[in-house]
Amino acid sequence: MKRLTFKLLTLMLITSVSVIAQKKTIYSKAFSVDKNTTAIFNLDNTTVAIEASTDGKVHFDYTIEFSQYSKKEVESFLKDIKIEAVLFENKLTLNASSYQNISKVAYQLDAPFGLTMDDANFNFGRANDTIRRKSKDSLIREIRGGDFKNLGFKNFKMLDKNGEKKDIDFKNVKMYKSRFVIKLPAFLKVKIVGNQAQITFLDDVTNELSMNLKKGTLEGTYLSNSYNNFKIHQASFEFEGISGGNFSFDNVTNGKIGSIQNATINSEFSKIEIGEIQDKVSITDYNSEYWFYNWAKDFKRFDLFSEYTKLYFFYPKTHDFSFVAVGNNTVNHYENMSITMQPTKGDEKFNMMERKAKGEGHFSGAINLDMVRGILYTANDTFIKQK
Amino acid sequence: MKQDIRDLFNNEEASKKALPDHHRQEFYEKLKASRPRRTSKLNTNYLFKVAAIVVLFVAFAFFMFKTTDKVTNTIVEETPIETQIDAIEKQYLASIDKEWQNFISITDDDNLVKRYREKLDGLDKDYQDISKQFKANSNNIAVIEALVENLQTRLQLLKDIQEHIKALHQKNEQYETINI
Repeated sequence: MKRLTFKLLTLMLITSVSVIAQKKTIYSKAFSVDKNTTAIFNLDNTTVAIEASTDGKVHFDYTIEFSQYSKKEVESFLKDIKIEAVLFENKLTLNASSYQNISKVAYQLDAPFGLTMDDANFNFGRANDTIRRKSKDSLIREIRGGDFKNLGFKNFKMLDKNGEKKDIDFKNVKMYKSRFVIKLPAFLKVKIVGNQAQITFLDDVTNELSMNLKKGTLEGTYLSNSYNNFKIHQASFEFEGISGGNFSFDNVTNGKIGSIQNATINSEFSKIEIGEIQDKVSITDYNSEYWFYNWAKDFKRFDLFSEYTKLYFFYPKTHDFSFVAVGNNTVNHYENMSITMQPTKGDEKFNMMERKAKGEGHFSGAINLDMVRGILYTANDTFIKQK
Repeated sequence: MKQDIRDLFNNEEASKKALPDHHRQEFYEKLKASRPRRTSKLNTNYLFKVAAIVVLFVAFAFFMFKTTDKVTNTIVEETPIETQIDAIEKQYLASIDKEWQNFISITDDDNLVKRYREKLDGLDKDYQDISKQFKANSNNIAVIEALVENLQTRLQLLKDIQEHIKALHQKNEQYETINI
């Protein structure tokens, strides 16, 4: 009798214990489209990877792999995901949402006695005052290495039954990996509306894209289309290269662009690093921080119109160029010098700084800065920021 | 046919009749029997009503007790992370308020103040949304980090703009074009 009871208990234990790894297909469908088709993707709390389609169809393939989750937990998780794609009169609409934010990889802890934050590690502040000129390639390497930036947990400890802090046991951490791949033919016009969405372009993209993203992340390799229109609000933006289009950044605190050409940026309250400025770039800004690291051999003309902008500006290294800074009430830091160009009556702008082309060798282009109430750090190379 | 009622009493035969011995007793019994009696049905209804009131009262008392108990438990059972977040929130909000006062005291640019007010209000609204998610699942690390990041962003914005304004007020003044 005892033996039978033991067997029954063992059986119950086996059936109720967490399943180690379960892969679930959430959605899988392909649509035939043509050049007249427009795709609209509404992404809410969803992570997607977009890549080129090789068969001219649009593919949606969404899977989630769970580790250490019980079947019941998986079912409950999947119940919160809503996804539907419809092709109607040459308009392909995808609606994908989830109650909780589904990131590429996420960890969930069972902490019966609670979690606590390790106060010592949760301090923040400016990293340091050394401003380094980064090469285009090194900025691109930073963009590619993005996956390893936020591993989480570093600020957290678990509590035991006595209320003591202890390290998190990673063997008991539940984890899921979501993989939602959308394959797009290059001829398709695409409109994406994202809320708390993580969007990655895995291949170079030549599609005409209209993007409106509020919170989340947007990253990828190379965007190229003159009609691109991006509105990014309170999200991270990292691209290896941009060619063409209008970009609006509001509170983009992690902006990294490897290279940019033939594009217009309107920004406010953002922090944006640019590896290399190429031809026909114009920026209008209010109260952001910019880093201009390098200049292409033929950038031709660059314009910045700004107010309350802080700019870390590295001069072109190898070729001739001209430089004019107009405006007023702006501070310039150069090496150990700090000069304030005072406000004028009626906020009239004047020619604050000028460097005429030397007329020797190759002429790369003209740099025109219009700065009001700005701070301009100019440097030839790495420098220590003055306070 | 009309007749005078007094004539009826003049009928000697009727007035000479003697009443039976137990007439009075019989009369009382008949009277008693003819009274409308309280039926047993009425009594049961009454009992049901009383019982229902008692049950409702007990149920209400039980509900009130459970509710109070639950509220008490919620307060008592606030998790360590919730307590920490509460403390962090209070600390940050106090700092944000202080930095805001400092900021508006050093600038006379109304447009700048207005834009910062809008920005901070937007971030505060986001914070309320994230707080709802945190209340639903206080062990979600991404949500906790989003809460703290929101507070840090607000504080950093105010510190940055003050640093910026102070830098503009430095005294190395220059009105002529610098040639480089």
